[in-house]
Amino acid sequence: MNPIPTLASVTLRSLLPENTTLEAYYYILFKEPFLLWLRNSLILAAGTVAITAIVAFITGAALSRFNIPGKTTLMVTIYVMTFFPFAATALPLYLMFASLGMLRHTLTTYVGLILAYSGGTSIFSSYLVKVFLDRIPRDYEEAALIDGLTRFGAFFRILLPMAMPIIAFVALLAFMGAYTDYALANAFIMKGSMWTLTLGMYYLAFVNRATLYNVLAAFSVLMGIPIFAIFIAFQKYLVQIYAMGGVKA
Amino acid sequence: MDYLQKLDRVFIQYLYLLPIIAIALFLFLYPVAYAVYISFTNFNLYHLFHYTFVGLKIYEQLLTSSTFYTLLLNTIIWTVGSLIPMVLVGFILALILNQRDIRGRNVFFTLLLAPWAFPAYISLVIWYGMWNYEYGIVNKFLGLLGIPPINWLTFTNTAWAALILTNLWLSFPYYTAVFLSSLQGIPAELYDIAVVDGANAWHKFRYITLPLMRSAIAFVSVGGFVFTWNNFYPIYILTGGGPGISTDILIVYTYQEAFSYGYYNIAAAYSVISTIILAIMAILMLRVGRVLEVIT
Repeated sequence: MNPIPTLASVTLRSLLPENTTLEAYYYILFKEPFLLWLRNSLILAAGTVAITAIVAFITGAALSRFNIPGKTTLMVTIYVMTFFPFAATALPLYLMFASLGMLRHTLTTYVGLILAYSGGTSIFSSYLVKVFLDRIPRDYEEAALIDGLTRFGAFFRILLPMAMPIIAFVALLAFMGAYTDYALANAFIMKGSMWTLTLGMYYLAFVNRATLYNVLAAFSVLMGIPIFAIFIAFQKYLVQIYAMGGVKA
Repeated sequence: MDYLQKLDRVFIQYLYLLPIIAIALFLFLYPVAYAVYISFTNFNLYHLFHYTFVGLKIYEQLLTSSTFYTLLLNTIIWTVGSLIPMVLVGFILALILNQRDIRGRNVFFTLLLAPWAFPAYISLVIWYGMWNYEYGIVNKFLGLLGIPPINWLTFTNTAWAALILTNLWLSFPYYTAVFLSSLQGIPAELYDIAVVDGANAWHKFRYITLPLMRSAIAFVSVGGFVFTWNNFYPIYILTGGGPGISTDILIVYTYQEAFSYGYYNIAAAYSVISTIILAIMAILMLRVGRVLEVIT
């Protein structure tokens, strides 16, 4: 909300806002395609959150409740995979999707990006869900199974409501991952109309040298709003996660 | 019949794991294998359709070039230089917040989490502005103290200082939070008994806190090492590896090589070597810190 400071008058006074104005917000919302970028970012983030939450819950529940042969091997593999650097997979994924011709159309580019993001987040998330579910006693589901519910039904009707705190946490991680990603989006996206907020911000900050600093600040405030909205929406669950103290990102 | 039923049940149980196995295969194992494969070919933007197998040539080029060793050294400076202040600051802050009679701990804690909760990407773009020579707030504050402005990001030494300070600001809340939760797991009786035996504050720290925190410190350090080694955004956004490649690290160089210059095979070779070095270091540290015993 600050007009651009200059070096000419370096005093304490100049570090404080002089005349507050909403001009920067007006500029960012109506002179730049901010809303388009926001929509694109939200589409990608929503897709990633949906896939991550479903895959992480099913995998976490199965790993926690079943005695499958080869489970330990799978767990260790999953744990090691969370250590892989994204650069080791970003390039081959790009080449893979490009050779499938998926990067030519908007829809398939989004599908590719959502899959790439979900791959990164759902493996780590499955591990978190598994650790969380291990602490919930099996008695509830077993009672439900005796009452004639199927295994699948027991997972979704009994276990899912109890797992909501960790699902919320995992959803938040997935949202942040997709919403603030620059590296993959920059590699995958070819057309300006598909740009996300991070690409737009990079353009405003580094390519378009004429961008004023207050516009950038307004940009980051606006970009932060969805994140804080999700924080507030999930607050009830996130507090429970912190109270348990066992899960860290 | 029993056997068949059991087989049937195992099969159904595997169906639940199908999504994650598919993800692991197609989005992790296949890409990694593909990266290893193209690092042995001359596949790049200029040989997109007619590429040939060149064996170890790329690795030979890479390991005999001075670029690789500069990058490796930079990566180590970046990782170790960031990790030590982050762990120290995180640990000291956790100790301060863990004092039993401190007031307003929750307020401090909430404030501490702000830099963590706010996306690093946005914070970094803002920090880029703050290090700016002409308009940056850092130089303005220095100006108030009578220090002439510094061109932070254009000289190697000041660029490293700016990078590491920024990274410290971004990541110390995480370390504080983890250390604080394991400090709170230490039973208070231990300290009470020590006081009865006549221990002072230093004794309590040296003989109770430190030994009990050892595994937490080791675990967090290994995790932090792996994360910082592969931490892409701070360097990519603040300096882009510049001036020259003097603050470039392996992961940023890999990305630039692939997506800015189209040398896919060289980028793949870099990422393979980087991952191997990182894996060796992580395993060594896990062994030395005996962290695996904690996990299993």
